[in-house]
Amino acid sequence: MAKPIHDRQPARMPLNANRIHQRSARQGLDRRAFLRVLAGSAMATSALTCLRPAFAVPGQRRLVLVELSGANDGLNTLVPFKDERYHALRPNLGLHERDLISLNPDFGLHNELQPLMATWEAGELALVQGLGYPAPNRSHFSSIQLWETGGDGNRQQQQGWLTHDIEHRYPMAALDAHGICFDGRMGVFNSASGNWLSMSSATQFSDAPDIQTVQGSTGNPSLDAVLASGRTLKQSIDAISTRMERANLSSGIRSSALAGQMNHVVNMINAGVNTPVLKVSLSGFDTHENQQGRHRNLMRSLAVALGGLRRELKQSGEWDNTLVMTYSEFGRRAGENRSGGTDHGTASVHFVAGGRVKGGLYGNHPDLGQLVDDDLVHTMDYRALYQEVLASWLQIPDNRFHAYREPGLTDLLA
Amino acid sequence: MIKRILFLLLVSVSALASDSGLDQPLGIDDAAHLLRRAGLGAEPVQVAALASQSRADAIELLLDGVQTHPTIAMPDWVDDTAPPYWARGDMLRDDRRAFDRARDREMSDLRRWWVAEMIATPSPQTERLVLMWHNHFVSAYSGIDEESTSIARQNQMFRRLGLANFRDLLRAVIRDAAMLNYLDNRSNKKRSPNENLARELLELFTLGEGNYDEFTVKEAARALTGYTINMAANMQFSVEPWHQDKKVKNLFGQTGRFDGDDLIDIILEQDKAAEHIARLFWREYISEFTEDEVAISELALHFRQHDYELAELFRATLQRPEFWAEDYRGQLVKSPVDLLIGTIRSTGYVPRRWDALPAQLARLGQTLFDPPNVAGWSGGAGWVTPARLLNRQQTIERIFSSRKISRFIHSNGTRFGTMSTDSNMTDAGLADTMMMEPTEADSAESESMMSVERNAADGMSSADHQVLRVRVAAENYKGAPELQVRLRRHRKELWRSESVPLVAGHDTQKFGRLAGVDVMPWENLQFTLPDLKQDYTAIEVHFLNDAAGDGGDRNLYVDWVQIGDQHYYARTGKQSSGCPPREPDQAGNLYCQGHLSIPVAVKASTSGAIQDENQLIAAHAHTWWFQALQRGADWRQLVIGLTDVRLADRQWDSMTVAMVDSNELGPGLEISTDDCVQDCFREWPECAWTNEVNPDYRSLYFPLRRTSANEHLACHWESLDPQDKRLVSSLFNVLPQLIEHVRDGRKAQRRKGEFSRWAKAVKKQHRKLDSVYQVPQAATRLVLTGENISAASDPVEFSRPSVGGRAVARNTAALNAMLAEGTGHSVLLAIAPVVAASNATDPAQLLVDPAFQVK
Repeated sequence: MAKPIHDRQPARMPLNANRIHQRSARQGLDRRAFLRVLAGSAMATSALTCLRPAFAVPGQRRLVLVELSGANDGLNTLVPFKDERYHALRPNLGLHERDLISLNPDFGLHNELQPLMATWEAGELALVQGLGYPAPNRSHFSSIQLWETGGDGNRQQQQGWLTHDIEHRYPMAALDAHGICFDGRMGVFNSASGNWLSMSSATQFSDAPDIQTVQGSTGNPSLDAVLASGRTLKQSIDAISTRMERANLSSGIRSSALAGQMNHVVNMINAGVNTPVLKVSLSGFDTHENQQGRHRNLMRSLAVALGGLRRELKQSGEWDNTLVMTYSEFGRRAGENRSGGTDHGTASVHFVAGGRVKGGLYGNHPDLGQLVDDDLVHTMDYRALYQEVLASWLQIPDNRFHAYREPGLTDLLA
Repeated sequence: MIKRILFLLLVSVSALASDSGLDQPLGIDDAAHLLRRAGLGAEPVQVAALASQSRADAIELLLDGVQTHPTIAMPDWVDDTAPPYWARGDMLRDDRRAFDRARDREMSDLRRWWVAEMIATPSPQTERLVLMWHNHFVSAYSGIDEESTSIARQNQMFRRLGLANFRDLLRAVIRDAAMLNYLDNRSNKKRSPNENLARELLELFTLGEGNYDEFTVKEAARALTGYTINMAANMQFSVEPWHQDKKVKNLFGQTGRFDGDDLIDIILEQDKAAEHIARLFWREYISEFTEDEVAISELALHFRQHDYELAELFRATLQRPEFWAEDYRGQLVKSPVDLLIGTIRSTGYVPRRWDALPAQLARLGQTLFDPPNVAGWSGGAGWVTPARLLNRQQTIERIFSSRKISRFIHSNGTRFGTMSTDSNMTDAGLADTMMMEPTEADSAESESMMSVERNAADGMSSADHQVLRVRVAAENYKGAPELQVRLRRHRKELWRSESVPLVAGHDTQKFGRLAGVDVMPWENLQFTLPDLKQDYTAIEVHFLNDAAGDGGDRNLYVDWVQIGDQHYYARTGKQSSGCPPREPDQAGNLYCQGHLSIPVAVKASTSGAIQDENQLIAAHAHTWWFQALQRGADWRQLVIGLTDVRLADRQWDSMTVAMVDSNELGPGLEISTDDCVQDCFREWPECAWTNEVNPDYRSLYFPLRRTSANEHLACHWESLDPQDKRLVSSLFNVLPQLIEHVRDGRKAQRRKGEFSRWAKAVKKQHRKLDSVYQVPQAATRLVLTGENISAASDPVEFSRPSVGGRAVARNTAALNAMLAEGTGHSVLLAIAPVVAASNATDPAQLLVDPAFQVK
């Protein structure tokens, strides 16, 4: 049961029924300036006490989703460098021991993932191998939609894979938002209910328009939905912008194409923005040609951003409450093509990291001798990972994917 | 507070109208309600016209007004022969990217077309029906391999059948090119069934979840095997009998050798089918929040009793007492189309930047032709999630700001302030005032830039001066990009425009970066050129004021420059900037300060292949598909396609040639009626093969060598018209050249070994070609001109539409009259305002009221 919502609007701007909601850049500035004044004044205390504590649920955990957009080449990320079949499939693109960071006698990580090694050595980085789904679809659009919604080639789904469970586990009133994405791609948050926000910068809301809020019910269910959404939005905007106004914003992650978005994530977390899911994406993985250099840059960007996230959050003590997970529409074809690249494939490896992750390799690498249509055959349904994240990390054991439970993953987040 | 109590009273007292009272006259309130629900927004002129009608008559008027064809013609490419989608998979990188980009550009034109149609049509009820079917039988452009043609033709199909018989609509849907691709039925084959179309046909399209079982899905999928599209034959529907599962199926207790049409008939025998569609209409027209099961089953019964005639269901829905009842008012959330197009129709105010509407709709979650998944836009509360509510509020405030709206109404209103809605003034008499809108005061939209005329509606303005137009899009960050166009003769500058800011840019601080080329907010800037005296050799577009920072980026995108009739595409140019794109075909994407230079050297015509008697000329040749040659397997094919084929005075848009390896008949060429756009042959011999599914299908087989095993096929050749013999002979002659040409394509390269075996076999066999195929004047040489494979259709210009196709002033006058009478907010709001005063007359104030979000 949500507690009654305190409407803070009158404290700042009396709700005037006849006021014409027309804004100019100047008004926006005024309001921002006003907020800054608020934050430093005695009045601020009363404004801020209205905010719910940063962690309404003690030790609240959050998930950071990193979409590798365009389909990451799993085979050149975690490399079975001892396997001759790998080098036969990839005479030019294949990576050798010297190009790799050896994890064990058979597997090595792409050299550019070096910035992740501190996480690996701390036992906080897991690699889950062979993730995929039955009846693979090789269209970017269709397959990312399957990953976003938990479908497979035989059955599409509509809702974001975690929206339903999160909305039930975390009532709206206890949060600033159910989830926030920083890349404008809301597919994974597809839900007609809940409070899933899209922001292009962490401070964006300090310049948001005034949302009129009206309490109570009108008896019209449609209008009530509008009004309820308006109240939620207003609360979110107020809470997030107030938190961001008093936060020290940092841009400690640099030299990564993901740095901008990941710094927003760090800033939001450190400012105490209370949301269980944050989403970013790194794009450019569709490496049909000249893959080598491009993939190298992408691996570096990813590792710098993930390593940076850990560094920043360890500093603020939030790393233990954070789980990061990558996903991508599919892997790439086992064999290289003639343009120095790889075409659309199927199964791939993904990263899971966090202060409470038990690091290591999980699942089995797809058998390079058992290709179907030149593609890897997945060894684990990706929804097994979803189930583990929902059940063990977000503490929703009875989730949409519990049928996919995989014994091999039970240690991952123990 | 008092207002809210009043409002609640209003709602609860409303039960008095529970008798549907179809004979009673509508009045302004009901007329606006009917239009808002059945059409898009409530046009004051139409409200006034309907107000004196009875409910029953008004419904009949709407029904009679449903159209099967759009008012504004679709772009030409929709009905032209489809681009060679079949060749896309074989194209090398640059060709493929250019090909895709051309399709995206077509989609951007198509979206502008639809928005213009929704604004200008006198029949918004048609648009609502089409939108409803688009969202019920979902296919999305993003999910169909760039097949712009297919998704555009699907829209035509919904127009044609949207109010016909539901059975016919379903039959068209399972034959629809976009649908067969989107739901993977093209790979639904006897040996490898794909259940996607079958499942959604049952779950989403006809019966609803829980009204069939998994076994039925599998059986239904079998009935749909072989239903596919012939990509080489202008994307026409085709049944491939060899992929059909012709065995007995069991569907809902019936057994038989059912095909797709049988499946539909059996589905429509199920009670749940009529209910499912009645519910669809209920949710579209009456309420997304309250479902009266009794009423819905009554509608369903009526629908079924009238043999699934959609017009009957449409009429019955609008005649329901619930449709008219006060407590159902406002029980639908406005979709982005309702919110933007509906408001345009209600106010008569068409924003100057109307062509940014498709991008604005996309931002609010409704990308036309691209619903997010097979279930479509979820609608209802899904339109007003907190994230979307924020965008909706911002968008409304921006497009219909108080200043714009009141100036618009005021200036038109004072001019025609006393004109009543039943004025005798004709549209023609007001036509010249149509363009005389108030100047918008945004500095960016100022008209003071003498040489710049934005988005000129009437095309070329002056015959004396050359006009230069440039199509550009912007991502804004702390302001819009500014550009300048320059013309050069080698290094010498002949002319430069003043610098001009773009106006329709996408605000990256608020909305993040743009998703793709097909949703770019394109705008056309127009410059008048002086008499240059000299020829220019390059056109330059300069991006003058790059900026970027936390949460945003300012970028300029150039699509093309047009001088006279000639379009110069950005991708043919070269970019000089701080960060030129890696891909040369993205030369028009200026992410950093710098410029794009497009060379305009007069090129020799690309169609320069000299027409020679012994040449078979085509634009391109690509492998379409091939099977591995295997010992022992019968009937293996290698199919190669040609585009824009010419032989002497004959020509074809496309032609596919199947080389066949048959154990029984010996190697040969097979040509069928599906293989050419513009029929391959003047006449198909009587003895041609036929197929059991399609009575018009004919196929001819020409064995390389005549043997006793194939002598019965001699008539395939002997009965041909001499000109047709010349074609077959020419194809035989150029076979080895053809194989060599397609060798570098992606498909041959991907299966190099298998392709090599084909190449070897064809060459070897070709040496033994029977002399019977030597005819005089047959071509011996294949010439590929390389032109046009990825050419976009010419950009389409739509003039700024006016609401209902009528003079702007007439719409405003009608609104003004209503505002003056105090009935204005009946037009703008479906229910009493929540925040604004209930007697408020300032439209802008009503547009930001929460009550404006519902209808």
